[in-house]
Amino acid sequence: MFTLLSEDGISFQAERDVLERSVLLKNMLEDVQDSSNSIPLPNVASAVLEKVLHFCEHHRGDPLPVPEEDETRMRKIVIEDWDYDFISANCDIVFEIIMAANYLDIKDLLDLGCKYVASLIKGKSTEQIRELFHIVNDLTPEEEEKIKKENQWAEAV
Amino acid sequence: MTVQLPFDIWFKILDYLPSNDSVIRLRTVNRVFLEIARRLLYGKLCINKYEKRTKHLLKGISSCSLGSHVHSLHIQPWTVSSLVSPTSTRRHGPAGRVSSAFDHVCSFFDSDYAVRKAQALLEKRMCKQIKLVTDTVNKLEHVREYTVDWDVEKPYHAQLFTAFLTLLNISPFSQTLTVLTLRVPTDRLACLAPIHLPALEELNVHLTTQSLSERYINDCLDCFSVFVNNLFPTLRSLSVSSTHLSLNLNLSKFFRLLSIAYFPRLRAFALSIPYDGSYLPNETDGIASLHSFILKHSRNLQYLKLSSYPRCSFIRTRPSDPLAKYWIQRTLLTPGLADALVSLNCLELAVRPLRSDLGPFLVFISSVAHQLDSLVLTDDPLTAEEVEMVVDALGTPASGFLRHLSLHLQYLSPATLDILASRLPSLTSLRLTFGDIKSSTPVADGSAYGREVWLSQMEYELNLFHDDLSLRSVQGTYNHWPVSSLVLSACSSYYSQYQYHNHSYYHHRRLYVDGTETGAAARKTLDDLEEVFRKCIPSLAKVCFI
Repeated sequence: MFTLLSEDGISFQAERDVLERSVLLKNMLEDVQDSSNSIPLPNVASAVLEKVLHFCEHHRGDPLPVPEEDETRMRKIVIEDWDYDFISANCDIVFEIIMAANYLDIKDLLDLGCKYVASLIKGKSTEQIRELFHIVNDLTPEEEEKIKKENQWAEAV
Repeated sequence: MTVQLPFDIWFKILDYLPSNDSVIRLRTVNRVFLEIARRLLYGKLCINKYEKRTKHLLKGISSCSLGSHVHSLHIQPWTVSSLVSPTSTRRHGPAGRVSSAFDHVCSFFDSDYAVRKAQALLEKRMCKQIKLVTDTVNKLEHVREYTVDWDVEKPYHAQLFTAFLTLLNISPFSQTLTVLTLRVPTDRLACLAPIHLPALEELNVHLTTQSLSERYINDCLDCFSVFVNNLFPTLRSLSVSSTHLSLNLNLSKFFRLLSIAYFPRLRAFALSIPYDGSYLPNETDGIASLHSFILKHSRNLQYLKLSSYPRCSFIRTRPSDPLAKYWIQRTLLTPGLADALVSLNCLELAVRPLRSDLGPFLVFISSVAHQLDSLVLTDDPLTAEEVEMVVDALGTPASGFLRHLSLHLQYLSPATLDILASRLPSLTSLRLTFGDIKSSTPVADGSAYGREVWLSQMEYELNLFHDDLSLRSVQGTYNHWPVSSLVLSACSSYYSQYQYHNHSYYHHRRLYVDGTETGAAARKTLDDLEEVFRKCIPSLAKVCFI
C-alpha cells in the first residue's frame, strides 16, 4: 500500500495497481523504494482525490486506453453507465476532476470528464453555455455582429 | 465558477462535439471559444469544387484574416464548365440584345465561332477561379500539410493542376511546409523543378501517366527529380506509388537520378507499384537503380515498405525481362542490404506475388528480426504452416521485441492464435485479414451438399471457433499476452461466400443497418465473438471487426 497526501493534508492509501492508472504516479512509484513515505499531491484537494481514487479503483485491471487512430472530429459522445453516474456532478466538481486527471495524467478519466462537459454543451445556445459555466462574454457587440456575418460561409466548411 | 479550465482542455472538450453546426454556435460565447471554434472549423481547408459556397468560404477566409487557422490544405481540382448558364443567356437591355444578335450573325459566317466562344469562356472562368484560390492561399501562413489530389476517373484541366502546384512557389507557407502529398497528372510535376521547400520532411507522390510516352514521362520525371533532390537537407520520408494506369512508366532513370543525391535525414521509404514489376525493367537497370537508392540510405532507414498494387485484368510484362515480377524478392536479396539496414524497425512487404518461393522473404525477415518493432505482410494469404515459418523466421521470443504484426491468412484459427501468442509474447497490436474461419476440430467438407448444409457448416465452424476460444479463456491460454489492439478483417472472398449463401454475419451486419431481424442476430454473433476475444485476451482494449 502507498500513501498519498492531498493538498489539504489528508492521507489516502491505495495499492500500486490502482495508482498506476496515473502515468505521473506510475513514474513516481518506479523511483519510490519505500512505501512508508507518503507522496504529496499539492495540486489535488482531498475531496477530488477521493473521487479520483474511486475511479481508479473501479477501473483497476482494465486495459489502459489505446490512442485514437481516427483523429477526425465527427465522433460520438459515448459514456458507460457507471462512468456517467460517477461523473455526473456540478460543474465545479467536474472541472476539478478534469484538472486532477490532467495533472495526474489519467487518460481515461480526462476523456470521461471532457466527454461529459461536451455532452452538456451539445445542443445548447450561446446564452445557455455562458450561464452553465459562468462564462463572461468578453466580445464587444460589434465583434459578435461580425462573427455572425461569417455564418453564411462558415457553414460551407 | 471557482475553477477555470485552460485553453488546451477546452479545446479537447469542444473537439468532442459531433458536428460543425455545434461548433459554429460556440463562436459567440467568448474569445476563448471563438479561437477554438475557428481552429476546429478552419484547421483543415478542403477545396474540391467551385460553387457559390466555395466562393463565400474563400472570400470569407481572406477578408476576415482567418488564414492563420488553416494548418492543412487539400485541393482537388474540379471540372470547370464551358456551358453558359441559362440565366446569363437571357440578356437584358439594348447592349445584351446587340451582343446576342452579333453572336448569331458570327455563328452564321463562322462555323467554329460557338466552339471558340465556349473555349474563351472556359479560359476566363478558369483564370477567375485560379485567382480566387491563389489570393486566398497567399494569406495562409501556417499550413503544414498540403495535398493536391486528382480523381483519375474524371476529365481534368491541366492548368488547374499547374496553378495549384506553383502555389508552392508563391505562398507564404512554402517556407514552413512539412508534408506534401501529390496525386496529379505526372507531366504536371515538371513545374516543380524550380521550387524549393526548405522545411519539407515528408513527400508522398502518386504517379499516373496514363498513355503518355515513356520518353515524355522521363523528361517530366527528370524535372521532378531536381525538385526531390533539392529536398535533401530535410526529407525524412519518401513514398512513391503508381498503379496499372501508368502505361509507359519506367522508374529506372528516376531512381538513378535520386541516387545521385544523399538524403541524410531519410528514415522512411515506401514504393508501391504493380506486382508485375514492369516499371523497373531490367533492360534499363530498373531494379539496380532501386537497389542503389535503398542501399545508399540503408543505414538510416527505420521504415521500409515494398508493396505491389493488387492484381488487375491488365498485365504487362516486358518480353526481355521475365524476372521483373520478382522485383521485391530481388530487392531483398541485394547483397549486403539486410546487414546495412541497421536502424530498420518497421517492415512492410507484399509477400510472394504470383505464389513464388517464400524463401527470400523469410531469409530477409530472419536477418532483421532482432530489431523489428512492426511487421506487415500483405498480398497472398499464408497457410497456417507458412505463418509458423514466418514466426520461425522472427526467431526466439528473446531475440526480438515485435510489437505490431499484420498478416493475411488463408484462414483464421485458434491454432494460429496459439502460435502467435506463444512465440510473440511482446505483441501489443495485431491485425489479421483472413479468407475463412476454421476451428481446431475438423469439419466434414460440405461442398458436396446442398446450400443449407453448406450454410450450416459455416455456422457450425463459427460456433466451434467460438467454443475453442471460450475454452482458451477458461484455461487462461492468452492471459499474459499483452495484445491491446486486435483488428480482424474478412477479405472479399469470405464476404462473397457468405453473400452467396445469403446468411453471413458479415452480410447480416450490413442488413443490421436496415434494422432487420436477421441483422440483429448477426450483430449478436459479432458481439459474442468480440466478447469471447475480450475474455480470452484480458489485455485487449480495442477489438475491431472490419
